[in-house]
Amino acid sequence: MKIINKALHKGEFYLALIIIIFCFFVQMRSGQFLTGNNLVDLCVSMIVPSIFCMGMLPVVITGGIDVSFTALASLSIYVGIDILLRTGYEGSVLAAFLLVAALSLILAASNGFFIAVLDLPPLIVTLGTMSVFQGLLLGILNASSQNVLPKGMSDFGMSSLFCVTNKELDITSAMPYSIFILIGVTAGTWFILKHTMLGRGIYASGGNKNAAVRMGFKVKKIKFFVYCYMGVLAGVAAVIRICMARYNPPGNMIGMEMNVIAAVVLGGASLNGGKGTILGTLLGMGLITIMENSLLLLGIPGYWQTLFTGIIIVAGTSVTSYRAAGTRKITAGREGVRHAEE
Amino acid sequence: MQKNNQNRNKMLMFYQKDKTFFQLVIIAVIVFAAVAFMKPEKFLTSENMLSMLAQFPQFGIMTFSVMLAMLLGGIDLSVVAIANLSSITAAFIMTGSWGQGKSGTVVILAGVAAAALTGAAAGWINGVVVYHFRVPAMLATIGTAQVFQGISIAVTQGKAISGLPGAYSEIGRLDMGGVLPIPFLVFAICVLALSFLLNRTTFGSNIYMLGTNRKAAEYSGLKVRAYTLKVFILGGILAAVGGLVMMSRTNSAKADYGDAYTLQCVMIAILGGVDAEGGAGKVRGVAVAVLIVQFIASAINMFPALNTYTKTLIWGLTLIVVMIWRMFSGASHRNR
Repeated sequence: MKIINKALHKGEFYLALIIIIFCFFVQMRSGQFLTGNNLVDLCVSMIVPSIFCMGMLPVVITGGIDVSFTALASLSIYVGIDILLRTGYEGSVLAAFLLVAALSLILAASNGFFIAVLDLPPLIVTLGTMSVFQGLLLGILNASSQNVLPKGMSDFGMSSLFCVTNKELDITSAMPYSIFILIGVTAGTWFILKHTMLGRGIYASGGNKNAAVRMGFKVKKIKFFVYCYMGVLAGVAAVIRICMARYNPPGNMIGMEMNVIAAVVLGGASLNGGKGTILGTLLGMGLITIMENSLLLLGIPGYWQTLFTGIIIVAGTSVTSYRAAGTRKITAGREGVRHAEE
Repeated sequence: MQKNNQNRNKMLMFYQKDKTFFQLVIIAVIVFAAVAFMKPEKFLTSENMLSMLAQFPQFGIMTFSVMLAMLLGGIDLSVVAIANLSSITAAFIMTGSWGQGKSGTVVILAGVAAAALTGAAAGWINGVVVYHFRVPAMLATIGTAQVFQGISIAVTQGKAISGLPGAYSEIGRLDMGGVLPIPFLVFAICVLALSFLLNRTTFGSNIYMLGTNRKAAEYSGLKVRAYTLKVFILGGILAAVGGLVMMSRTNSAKADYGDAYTLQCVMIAILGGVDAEGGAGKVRGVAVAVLIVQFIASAINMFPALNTYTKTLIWGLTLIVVMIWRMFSGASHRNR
């Protein structure tokens, strides 16, 4: 009873409920939802955005935002592949991951510097760095599509854990090994947020910055860390995405940031900072991915996709923000009463 | 001697009163001189001056829309989507079967009115999501931008609508007496109307108060809800006007015109002295910032080796540099 009561007061519960109802609806209408290949497809399309989300969550918890990470990842993956191709590297994909992550870290450190050290507003800084990264990639480097990937990367893209075939439609979907990377990243982020002093600091500096400073948290270092973490994960996700696509259309990821931010907020994180959970974020991303992938199953033409995603995002964030505002008011009221009693 | 001193003091006071504005004017003059020095044969021609006067109004007017949202401490990332949705509405009215057999002026006026209404409605939706549902303005307008663009894509199926009445596209090309392009006149009217509204009316000063300290404004009896909605509706109408100007110049309407303007508008507003945290920023500062950006854009266009993405890079760098400059010059809100 206690557990049920507790669940009813959590946003995650309602999010899960909406997902289940929606899945049920799609299954009723199309009969294609609960097929093996559709479920594998859903998992596959969740991998990259979910890794982005794991990077975004700590940023949002500190009360920040990063809209530059897709441009950042696009730039570092392009440069990374270019370096590997030029040196003729034939080894494993690990080198690609390390190289791109390192390049991303350097770029992300500039975000961290402007936001954490100079204390400039995160949205505007990352809007600026986003166009700087995009301009470097498509303007200065004049990037064109990389159609041949280094051997390690294309091998990694083609390998799969298992395959599922839909006999009715004769479509096969493969589950890539990168699902393990998602699991690892999720576990790592969960560990950082819940079981380290750094994680406590991330929540504290988003909740009340002055209090966090008084408590001895190095807020500047914490903020610097979260932007670097976001950048590195964005780089890792970019490698996975390009390996799966088996070619690199430069700047193709730019625009994905919107769904990622929306998923984090749908999952109950507040853009004012101090709140947010891993489970909620994954459920938020799940809802968006399932909705986007199912429009096709429901027979809704592609032209309507932007509109539907937009409506889901506006409606979803409205509900979460409205609920959050409601609870804030109640606690504020209680504090007021306590104050008066004193 | 005495008089001279007094004059100097007066000037100093004038300068101190709006430092940002004078700094911007000086920058504008320097940028203009630098570009003119680099490419005098291309830049200092009357054709170039005329084409510049016709180019900046579309994003200049959209910048004021962003500025209004920023005065309240928010931001509006849906301006371009609103502009496109409004101009698509206008284009449907102007090219539709409804207008057959009616006089050109009536059709055009109906189209313009429909665009303004669409803009107002879109702004109202933004206001409702921001005020009633308490969604942070940034997230709310990213979402609504998706919705507005989604509607535009769905109704046009992603294609451009062309075949506007000839009289309408003339507006984009016509010059008043060969000196002032009509888009520039529209821009000038927006600047005058908006600076009157913000500087000389209670409505304007209340917006600044609301942006500076929301709690204080609330406790002093200001109707925060009405003000938020009105500011967003006004912003929506301005975005629609920007869209109409853009449509007159491209002679068509499409769901993804002017994609790069979103960032550019935010950048210009910050450059023009608008505080991202709300409550500070003058129309004249933003107007001068629009000019500076147009000078730089024209300069970039004179080097064919640079592609459009180089412009993106330069806007991004400018945005960051301007913010650092504002921080060190102490003009920022939080340093006061």
